[in-house]
Amino acid sequence: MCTAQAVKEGLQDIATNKRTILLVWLTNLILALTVALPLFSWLGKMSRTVEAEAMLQGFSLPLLVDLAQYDFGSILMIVGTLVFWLAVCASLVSTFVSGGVLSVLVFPGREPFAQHFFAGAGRYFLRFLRLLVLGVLCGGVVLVGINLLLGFLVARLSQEASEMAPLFLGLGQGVLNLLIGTVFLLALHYARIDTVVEDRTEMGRTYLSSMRFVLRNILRVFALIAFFALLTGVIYVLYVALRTALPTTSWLLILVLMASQQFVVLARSAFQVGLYGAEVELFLLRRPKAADRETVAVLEDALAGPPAPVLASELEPAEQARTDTE
Amino acid sequence: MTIKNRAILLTCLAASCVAAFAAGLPERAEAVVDYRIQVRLDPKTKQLHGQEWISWRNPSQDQVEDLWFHLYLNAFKNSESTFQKHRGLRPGTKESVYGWVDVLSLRLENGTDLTAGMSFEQPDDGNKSDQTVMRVKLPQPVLPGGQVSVRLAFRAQLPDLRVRTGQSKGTFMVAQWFPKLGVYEPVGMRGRTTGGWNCHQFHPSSEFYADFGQYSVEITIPSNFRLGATGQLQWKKDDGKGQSTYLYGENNIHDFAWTAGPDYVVMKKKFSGQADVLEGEYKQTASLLDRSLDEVRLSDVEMIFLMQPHHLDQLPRYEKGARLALKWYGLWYGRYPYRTLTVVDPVGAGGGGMEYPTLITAGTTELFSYAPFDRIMFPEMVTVHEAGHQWWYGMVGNNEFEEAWLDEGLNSYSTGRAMEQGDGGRGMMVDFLGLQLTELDVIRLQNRPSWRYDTSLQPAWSYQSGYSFYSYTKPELMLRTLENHLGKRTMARIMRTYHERWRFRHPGTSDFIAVANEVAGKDLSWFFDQFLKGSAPLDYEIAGISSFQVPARVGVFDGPKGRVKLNGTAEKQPKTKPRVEPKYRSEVTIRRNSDAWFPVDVLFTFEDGHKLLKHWDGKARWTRLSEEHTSRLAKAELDPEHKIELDANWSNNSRTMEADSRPAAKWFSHILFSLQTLLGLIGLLA
Repeated sequence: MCTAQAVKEGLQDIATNKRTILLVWLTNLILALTVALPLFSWLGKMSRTVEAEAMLQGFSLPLLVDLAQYDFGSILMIVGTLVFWLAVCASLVSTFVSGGVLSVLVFPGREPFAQHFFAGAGRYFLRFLRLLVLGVLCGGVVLVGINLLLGFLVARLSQEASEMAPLFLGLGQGVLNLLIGTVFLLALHYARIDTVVEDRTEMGRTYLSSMRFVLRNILRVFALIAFFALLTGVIYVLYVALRTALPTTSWLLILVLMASQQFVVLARSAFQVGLYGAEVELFLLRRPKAADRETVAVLEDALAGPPAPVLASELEPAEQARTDTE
Repeated sequence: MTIKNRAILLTCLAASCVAAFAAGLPERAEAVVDYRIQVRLDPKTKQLHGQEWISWRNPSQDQVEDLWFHLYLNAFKNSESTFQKHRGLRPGTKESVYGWVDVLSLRLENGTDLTAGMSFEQPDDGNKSDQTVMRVKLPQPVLPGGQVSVRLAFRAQLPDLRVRTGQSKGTFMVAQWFPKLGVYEPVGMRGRTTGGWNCHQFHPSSEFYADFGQYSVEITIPSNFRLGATGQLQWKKDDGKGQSTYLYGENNIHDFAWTAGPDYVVMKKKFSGQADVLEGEYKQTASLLDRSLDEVRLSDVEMIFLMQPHHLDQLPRYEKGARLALKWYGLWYGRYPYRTLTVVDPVGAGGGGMEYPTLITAGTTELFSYAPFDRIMFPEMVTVHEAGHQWWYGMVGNNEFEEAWLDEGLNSYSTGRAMEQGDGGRGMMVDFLGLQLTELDVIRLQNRPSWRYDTSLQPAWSYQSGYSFYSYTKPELMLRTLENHLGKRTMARIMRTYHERWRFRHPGTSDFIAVANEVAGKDLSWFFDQFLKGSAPLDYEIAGISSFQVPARVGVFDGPKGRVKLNGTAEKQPKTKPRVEPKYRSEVTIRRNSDAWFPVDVLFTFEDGHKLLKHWDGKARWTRLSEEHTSRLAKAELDPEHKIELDANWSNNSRTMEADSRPAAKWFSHILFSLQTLLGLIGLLA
């Protein structure tokens, strides 16, 4: 019931948060263009060569390599560096944007939208960044440990097994990594939600309690992410089918290709917002009761040092704000 | 007899001698060395215990005072061998990695002990720790045409499978396993000015060189092992105590390899000269090569496949490759003279892709049984290539140490052509998830202007890097370019003549060039000097094109009716004569970006559809070609038929007047979308 309700809420959030979705898509587009535009300039080399017909009809690896013949190494280095720094920037931007998205979802209906969004993004940025670092560290340590063990086992089993065994064992290892990594990722998501809902300031405790939340609701949290991943997958499959059918040799068809690609990205942004909305709803429905939380807080206080100073927070409790708008 | 008749007779005699020399496929080698070997495999210790009886005939006019042997297995003895110094052997390496061969005794036929005269030599790098070459002083020199027979006992330790020799998962691949004589090259062979032993150390990127002769090898292995070996099985005996002995023999070969293991599944197929080749194909080949039908006919061959059980479903792929090689190499170069061809499906990656006389190792993986990986033609290609080595290296026995291109390059070229025959001329090597690559694509991907520090004609161990490119790829591109330049017919005759003339002999590069010049009827030294002996890559580009209306005449002109002044306004057109169309002058600037040169064609295509082909000798650093026509130039293409496959960059070989941004826009969109997908994933994670 909770899961279904959360999904329903998430889908409704898609309908009611179009500006948020557009902002997420726009951020994504701008970041991607920082690397794509220089590459477009380089691809312009193809504009006056007869060989480029092959790239219009399909894909020609030999032509691409020929175009880069005299600057192969430098192109690889530049593109590699650009992509690396893009990934770093994207992580920071995404952390910033998720604060805004959660602010809008947890405290809906506030205007002006842009002020609300960016105020929230700024307010929670550093806390979310600390959570990200915590999540990466914890997840990284666990994954490294597991992979060391698994790697040893896979190597031993592969020695005596068939040629395909290493492939299947490797795939299995990959799936396990994915599942464990997803748990840590979900803990990060719910920690962020908790931070916004309860205006948390102690990120270590928040992450731990979110991990507990995720483990207690493991099937529900996985169901949510799987549902929205499936929706995204369907969109991608439809796009691939369209791309396979579409020849993309004329300007009109190329524009159709571009439009369809941006539609896919927009849809994915929408599902991302929908997932956050569903997770917020699930958190609100399933988070520990107040009394239980007090007991936990006492225990945690006994273990930890003096509490950090409480920052000024919004006047209404988060739950009341969500209820009011309904 | 009159002088005229005498001249006619002499001419006919000379012609018939030439014809006799040019035509006819030698069926046997001038045997220099005979080996009789008895060997027993001990699977527990992975050791070979063997005895050899070697007869060597002095093919030179020199008195030869010593014998030089290859002891290849000593390359794996320790970290100080020349081989290991390049490859690296770290402390803590497990003992099973080591391999070696010890000569336990060496005597003349009359019992004279020769061990006192044994010494290790290092003719290539002076590395005193390397023991892959052994010299043995003889008490008496071997006279020209004379013979010496020695008896030798040896023990060899096989390593874990590496460089196609050793043991893996209980299966043994036994190659370069016995003390083998080098080649005594007389004066004149391969351009030598003095006779001497050619016996190189074992290097990571070098292969082998030995004399032709007869091999007779008795191999004793556990009875539950299955055996595949060079040559034909003569007999088999079981001792009733779990050991079996096989006798294999073959003539006209220069090496012997074998493999044994309990898991092999042995399958036999037949290649038939009658059933597997159409009569039309024989006639076509005979006509192409200017040979008689009898000369091009092929014999039957028994194909023996030793398969790993889990690769049995891929037998058809190996079989296809073997048939392609036996058929097309046989038709083009000369029939396969042996009765058997053994194809080994190796255990482990270290055992695949190698050639020995009448035995090859191929290679595949279970993954290639499943779509879409079954569209990668690797098993077929490697089988064709290794089987093809029976012609280039096996029968034409070049020195693989010093002139690796003569077998690898010629064979790579031939493999490409044979693969094209196998799939209707496309030569598709990869057809995988939308990525299609032909044989030509694959080799061109490796050709880069940065390959300019070595040549194809240098010792295999002397490359800075890129042995594979210089020995395989560049010669293949070179031969394909030569074929396009001379024509398929001439090229086919060059290759056939070279094979016929040097079958069962040891040619050098100059011998190949001599045949090419002779058959082509022109001096091709400009070509071979650049692309074989030189290091420069080749790249032409169209640096610029322009097309403008020829301007009106201005100035003072002296005509038949006197001096006329023109000021550039439109001249009056006479009403009675046809109207003169405006003319456009089109100019194409071509640059040679490389030090190497090659004659090129340039195709002008005009807006009205008219095409004009111009030719440039390609020698200058740049040139400008121009043409006047009633229409503007639409595009210019250098080497429009892509005959110059050595050109490292085809993307700069054409230029259009109008830019077309559609390809760039389309791929920009794909790149943008891919980046957005990546960023979306980061957004979810972060």
